[in-house]
Amino acid sequence: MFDYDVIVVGCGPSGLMAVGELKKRGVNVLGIDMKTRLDKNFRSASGFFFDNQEFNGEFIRLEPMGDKTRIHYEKCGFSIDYPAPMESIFNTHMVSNSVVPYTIATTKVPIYHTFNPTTWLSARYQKALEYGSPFMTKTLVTKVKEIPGGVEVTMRKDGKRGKLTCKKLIAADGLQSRIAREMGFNRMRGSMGIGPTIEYEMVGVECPFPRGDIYLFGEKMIGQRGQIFMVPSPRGQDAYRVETAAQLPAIRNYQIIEHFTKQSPFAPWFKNAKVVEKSAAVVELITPIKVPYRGNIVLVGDGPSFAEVLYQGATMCGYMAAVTTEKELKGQKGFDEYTQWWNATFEWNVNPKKMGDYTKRFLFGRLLGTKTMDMLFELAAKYPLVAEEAKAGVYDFGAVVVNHLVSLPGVPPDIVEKLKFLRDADMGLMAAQLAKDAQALKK
Amino acid sequence: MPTITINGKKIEAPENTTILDAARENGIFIPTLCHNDGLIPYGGCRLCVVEVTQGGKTTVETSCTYPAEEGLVVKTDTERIRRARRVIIGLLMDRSPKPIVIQDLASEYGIMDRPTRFSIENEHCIRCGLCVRACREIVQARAISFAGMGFERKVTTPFNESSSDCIGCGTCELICPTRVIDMRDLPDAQEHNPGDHESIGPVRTLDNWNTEFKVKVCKECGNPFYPAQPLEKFRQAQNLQPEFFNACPSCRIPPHVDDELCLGCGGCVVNCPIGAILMKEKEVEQRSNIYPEICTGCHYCVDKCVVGAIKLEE
Repeated sequence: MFDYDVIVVGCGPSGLMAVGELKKRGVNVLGIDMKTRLDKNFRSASGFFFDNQEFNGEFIRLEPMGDKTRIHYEKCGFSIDYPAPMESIFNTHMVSNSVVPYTIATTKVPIYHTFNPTTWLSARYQKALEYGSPFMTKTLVTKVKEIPGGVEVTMRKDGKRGKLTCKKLIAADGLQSRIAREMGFNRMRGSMGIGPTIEYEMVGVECPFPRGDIYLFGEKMIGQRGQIFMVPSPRGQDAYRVETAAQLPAIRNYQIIEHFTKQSPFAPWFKNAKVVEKSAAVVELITPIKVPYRGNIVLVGDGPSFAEVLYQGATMCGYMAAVTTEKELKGQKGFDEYTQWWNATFEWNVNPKKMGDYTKRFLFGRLLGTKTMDMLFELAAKYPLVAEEAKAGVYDFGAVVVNHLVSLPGVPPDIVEKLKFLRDADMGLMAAQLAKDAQALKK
Repeated sequence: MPTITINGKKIEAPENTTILDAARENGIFIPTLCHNDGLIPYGGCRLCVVEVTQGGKTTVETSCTYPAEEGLVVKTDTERIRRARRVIIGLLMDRSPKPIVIQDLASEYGIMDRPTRFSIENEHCIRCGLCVRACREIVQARAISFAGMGFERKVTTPFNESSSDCIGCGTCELICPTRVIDMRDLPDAQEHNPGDHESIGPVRTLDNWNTEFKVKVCKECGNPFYPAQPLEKFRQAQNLQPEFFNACPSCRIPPHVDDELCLGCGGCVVNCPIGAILMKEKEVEQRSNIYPEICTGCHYCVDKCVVGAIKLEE
């Protein structure tokens, strides 16, 4: 009566995991994606991996096995293989206009590991094919409709319409999920803005800093308001992924990255560099969905989340969705279990204040001005951060930096106050302060 | 399929149709005033009366509400029917002699210069209820309805106040047979306060319902094109992005993708409000592909493209 037991819409890191895991358990499943091929990453992705620490409610342990790495998800209770070694990163830098880096370094435990998203995806795709999972590419799902006992999926392929039915639907169609929007989930969510990004993967970069990620802000380097991230790439010791973050219109990102690599004071780094791969994405900061399912449709991965779940979180979501959907098919309350797990795991769900903390690391320059940051960074170079105890995760990074900057001798009291405000503020306060600053600037 | 006879002609009417539909389908004219194919039959004006013979009994019925049943014998133009219609048109002439539809009917039935029994009231509205039903059934706004009884019956908003349910779509003005509803689009309205006035831009007014709407200005050409309120209502009903109705219909041209610049990241595919962009293969890479026959030209994708590969002009 139904075409499939389960249809998975979107075959990224979470979708591929869910398809493979369901097929392994003998469920009649189909994966649908808009891309032309599933073993390649087209959308720019973060490419780093937080392990050996409690992050997003999960403790991930890496086990190097020669030419591959086994990744153990200790709490969810499963392991996957990544078919290449992962590089450990011990440094993270911040650079303002004065080009003096502010460095946090560790010596014993790496801050994170890097990986190649394309390798990750192709490994998951091969695994899913091994189990015999069917896929449908170049297909865009435009509408989902609940019918008695199941879901009707309307899709478009080669400009033609088609329909399929299934008992349960897993929507893993990423950030700005069409299914979440069509079902009206986004009406109750608060959007904090759209930020497009472009990413150049470059080899032959002559970077004088110790290998690590570099966060740059300041109009002098970038040419206009915006930010640049340089994340080490696994393609070699001189390979970096250069990413931008700016507001709409999106073409500004292209201008920023061209200016940065060709005209800025950093252009000598890229004199002999070659662009290996280009990718882009449109990122939206939007508050998470608390109950990510309705009827027979469950939303997983980036779609119902705040900003991003990263590859590691997406894989976790895909696995849990597969486990709980199988239970749901058997008549148990699987989706309720998924919702419980969803709300107890990701940090922005456990504590909504973390959403603000996530954005704080990008707000130093905007709130304090680049001149103040130059002064602080020059001061910090004399008193570097003793980093062994500083766990600079995604969410506490801002607080760690503020605590260090406040402890420096000779920081003027008004700046200390501003820094403390930044550390303790929630999103509402912060937005109000930024609006006030913008008005003062106009006057 | 029931078989009925209209004016001596045997007609096979489809299931669940009325006599009026069956007659019009076969080229037999029956005059109407309150009937519209898009609305539920109302039977208000009684102009569509016909003689219906069923089981040896002949009655006068409204054809717009009478279902076409097996074995009916219908006559649409007998002297009895013409007399009934003359009475109806005569009464309408007494109250509303100005509308052209009424004058046309009166001259056709030869009662233009008929001596009147009442003092002529000269009112335009003929209480056909088309505007009320269209607002309820098509627009689903329910902004207007009938109020009062007897000869004081009239179409109005609740308590004759400015209605917050009215969305300014203009369906009532379009459907009214007597042109009594006064809708105007003002290119540049001004708000007058004592000793002062300020320009508030293009405005649509509906005097009958005491409402006034700001009209949206096209982002591309700068011309006003439609009231913002109904556009917002349609947008929310369809879960579309806020920028979907920014451009006027004549500026809605499908953009095209520059294959050399496009990175194939899929940012436009997920952002397209209606799913008009898909992926196509280009060697090992992929490229965005806009289907012009699906695209509505909202240009939402244009400023979302990171490398500026989506362009409006060749």
